[in-house]
Amino acid sequence: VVRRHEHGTALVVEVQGEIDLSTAGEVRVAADAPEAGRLVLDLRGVDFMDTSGIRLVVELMRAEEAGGPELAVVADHYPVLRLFDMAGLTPRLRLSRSVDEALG
Amino acid sequence: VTPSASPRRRLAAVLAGLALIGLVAGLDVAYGPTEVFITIVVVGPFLTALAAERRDVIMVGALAVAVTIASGWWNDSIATGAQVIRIVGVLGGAVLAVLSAQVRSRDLLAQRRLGLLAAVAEVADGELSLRVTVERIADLLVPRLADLAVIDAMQGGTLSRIAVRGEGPEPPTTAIQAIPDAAELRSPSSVVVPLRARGRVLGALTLGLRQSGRTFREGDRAFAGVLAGRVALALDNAGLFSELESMEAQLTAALGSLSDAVTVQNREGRLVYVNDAAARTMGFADAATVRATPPSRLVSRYDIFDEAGRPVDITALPGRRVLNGEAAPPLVVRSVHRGTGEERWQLIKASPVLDREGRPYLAVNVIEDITDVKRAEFGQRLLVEAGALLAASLEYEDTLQQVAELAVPELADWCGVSIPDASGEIRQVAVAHVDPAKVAFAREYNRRYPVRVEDPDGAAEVLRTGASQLVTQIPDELLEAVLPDPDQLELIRSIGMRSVMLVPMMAAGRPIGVVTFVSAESGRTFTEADLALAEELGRRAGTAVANARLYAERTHIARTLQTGLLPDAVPDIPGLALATLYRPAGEENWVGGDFYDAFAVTGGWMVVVGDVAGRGPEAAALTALARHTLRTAATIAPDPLSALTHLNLELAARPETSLVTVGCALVTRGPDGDSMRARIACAGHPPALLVRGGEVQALGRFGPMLGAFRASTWDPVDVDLYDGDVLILYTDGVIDTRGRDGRFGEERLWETVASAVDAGDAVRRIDGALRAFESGEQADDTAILAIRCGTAPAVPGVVHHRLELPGGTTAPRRARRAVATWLAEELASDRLYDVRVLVSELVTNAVRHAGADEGHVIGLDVVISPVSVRVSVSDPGPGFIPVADPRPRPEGGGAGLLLVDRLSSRWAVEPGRPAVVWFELDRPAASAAA
Repeated sequence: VVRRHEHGTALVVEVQGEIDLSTAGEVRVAADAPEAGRLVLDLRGVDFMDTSGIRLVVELMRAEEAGGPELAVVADHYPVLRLFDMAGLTPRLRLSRSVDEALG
Repeated sequence: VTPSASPRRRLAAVLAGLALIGLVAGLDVAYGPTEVFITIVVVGPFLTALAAERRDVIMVGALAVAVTIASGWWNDSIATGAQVIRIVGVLGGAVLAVLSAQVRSRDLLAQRRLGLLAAVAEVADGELSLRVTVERIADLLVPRLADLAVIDAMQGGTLSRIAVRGEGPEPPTTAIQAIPDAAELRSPSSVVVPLRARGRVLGALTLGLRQSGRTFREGDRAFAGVLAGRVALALDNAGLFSELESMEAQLTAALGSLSDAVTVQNREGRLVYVNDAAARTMGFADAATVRATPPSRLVSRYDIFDEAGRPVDITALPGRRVLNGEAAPPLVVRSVHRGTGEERWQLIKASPVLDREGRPYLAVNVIEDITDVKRAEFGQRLLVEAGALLAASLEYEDTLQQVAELAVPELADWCGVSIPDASGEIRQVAVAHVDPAKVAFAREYNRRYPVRVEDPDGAAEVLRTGASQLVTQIPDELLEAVLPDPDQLELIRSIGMRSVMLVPMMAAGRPIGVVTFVSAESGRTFTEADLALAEELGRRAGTAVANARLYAERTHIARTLQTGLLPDAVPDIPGLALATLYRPAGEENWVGGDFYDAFAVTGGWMVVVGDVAGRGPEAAALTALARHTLRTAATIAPDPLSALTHLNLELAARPETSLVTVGCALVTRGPDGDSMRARIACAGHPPALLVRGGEVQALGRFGPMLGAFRASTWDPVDVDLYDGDVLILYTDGVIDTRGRDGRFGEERLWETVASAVDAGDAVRRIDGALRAFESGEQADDTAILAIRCGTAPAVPGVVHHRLELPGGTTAPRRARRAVATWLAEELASDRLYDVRVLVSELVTNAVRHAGADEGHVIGLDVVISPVSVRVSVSDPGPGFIPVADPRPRPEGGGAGLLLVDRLSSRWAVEPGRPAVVWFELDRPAASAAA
């Protein structure tokens, strides 16, 4: 399940459930917001994620580099955080524990 | 004017009437006066009335009456009552005949007039040019309604004669001051009616009759008035009298010479003004030709796309939008000429012209041709983006796919990349199209019709010559000539190929692959500029592929060699359990120097762990030499000292410095056949560890490394081994493993192995601890070998699960769920999560890279044993075998497989059809310890 909320110029994309080959595309579409100033990807509700999720985040990071919205990821549980660790993304990622923190 | 009957039918009717009268009169003469049937002559005028005109009927009727009067002479009935009655009867009949002819003639007239009105209305609706409209109308009027028709019209404030049609001398067609009069027309009868449309007088229609016998009556004038209304409408529709006529004159002067294309369209979308530049943009010689072409035909000449490649409906063009009263920002479009495939980029700006009520009634479009700018911009962007992609990754297959995707749909509808493999097949490693179904089509096509390096033309020729090929137009005959297989021909036809470019991927001046660009449904044809861009892309991709391949080949060589340097399988040694682990340091490292070996010698077993200084092929050769020499020496004289001495001499004799460290242990059964002993010697190597009852001790005295000095001696350590003892040999890669807190170190190693109860357990514990500890790239390989005294514990039951599931995007989820169910009781939740991620990755790879879509079956096998969980995924396609290289290529799956490597205890690819990828996850020692 993917939900979009707008907070000023920021877009919060809240993902619940699983991110894999069959769902990553949907999240990618929901997170497509070239006009937004900041994109907050809230993964706290994700109970499973594989490298489809990593690909997604890398794409969004690349989009940011290309002038897209600033990416902030909200994640608070180990499976997701560890995957970012393993992919070497943790040091390069704006990781927050809460949406408020990510919006701040 | 009375409508004239067909002359032939009229003549026939008259003759028939006359013949009947003649025949009756003749019979009456022959049989008279006894029989009198002269009154039958009255049928004559009726016969004539069927098809002739009124005056013909009058003539025939008069003749019938005359013959009846004359019949008095031969019937001797002059002035008799019967004769008078006959005359009156025939006269009455003749009058009736004349009246009926008149009624018929009126019907005919009404019918003709309606037909004429309908025909003029049809011309009015026909969207014809003015010239054609006028011609058609004139054709309708002459000679049907009149012998002469003249149309005068107000144009630009003056009256001009736009049409004259008629036989005989024509009135002047230029410099007229007023509508013509009868004298000027030289016509005895004429009608002049005004041309009125939409409440304005536009000019006049003049009709004249010259032939004798025809005159206009009042009814004709009234009809001419109605007709003129229709004619005026037709001319107005043709654009003659719109305000634009005068406006055009001004616009033509102002805009005609502009180099930018300018068009003006009216509310109906019709182009009412086009300058020459616009005409040329549209592919016409001049503006006049454009205006003579119906708007529907103009639009259908082009396919129009926006910048994102989506088709643009003509109603979305700025001109149409301003006519609808909307705001219309400038729009960048790409138009492709359907006939020639020529592609142009245009910036269209439109502004409305408002009428008195403030409503837009005209749109003025300025169309700037930005093709050159756009091409340059796109080319630059493509190369920059491709360059970034190519530089960012060593996984060239994924990268080439992304590069191919950059090229569609802006440069081409299809883009494919092919690379020859070792078997000589030129395999497609990447293909892109905006439609996934077409990508699948391309993959299937390439499976069915493989291309080989020895093929005479196409990609093979490009590979041989390194020269690009550009086919701007692909006629069907060309396809037939190169594709003899009818099925293949049909498939290619179904794509609707229009234009093709094949460019080599160049690396170090040598073609290593081919990039194919196909234009199909977009209808555009490739130009030399496109080819130059494609070639540049090919060059950059080639360099990147060469780099990536070099890297992949190195890694591959490293793995192959390393595998060869390690024993195929550790031997089964009675009374001893043995476990080994080899961990290569990092992807970028070449052949590691670490090795281990275990083999039987007289009286016991020799176990060896070693480390060769250096990397690369030389180190690999040295490793092979070391292993081989140790084996040979130990077989001849089963003693560590002898083996080390032998190898030391071999190495010292080599011209280049060849340094090897070795830790080896000879394990022998004691004289009682039950107890065991180990003799351990270390040459520049860390000591072995002995784990006994939770205590750890180091065994072995430090001695010189092999190959350093010819005269070296080692002092071996002898130790008795008991049931349950675990002896561990390892290379210094273990203690040198780097983590956030520095080296792993001996202390951590001791803690790690202290509770080991079995050989495998010890190895897994070290492996697990290193995985948990290490961070970043490791400098050194790691080899570990552990033996445990005493017979191995009995292996409890092994459970096997199997599932076949359809491919497609949902396959990973299904596979995960199945495996999670099977393992729910077996693994702790965090390990189970790992298994779910692992399964997800492997199945995702099968779908993404091996083409396992809905039609294919993915096999899932899970083997659960007390010590490990093994999951195998089989897929239908080439799987993880690199396309350019049929040998296993573990790094092929990208980030996914990196993760697999991290999360699993071990994993491998077994190429073939189906290809199998498996991983094992060792189960925590807790269960073994319990």
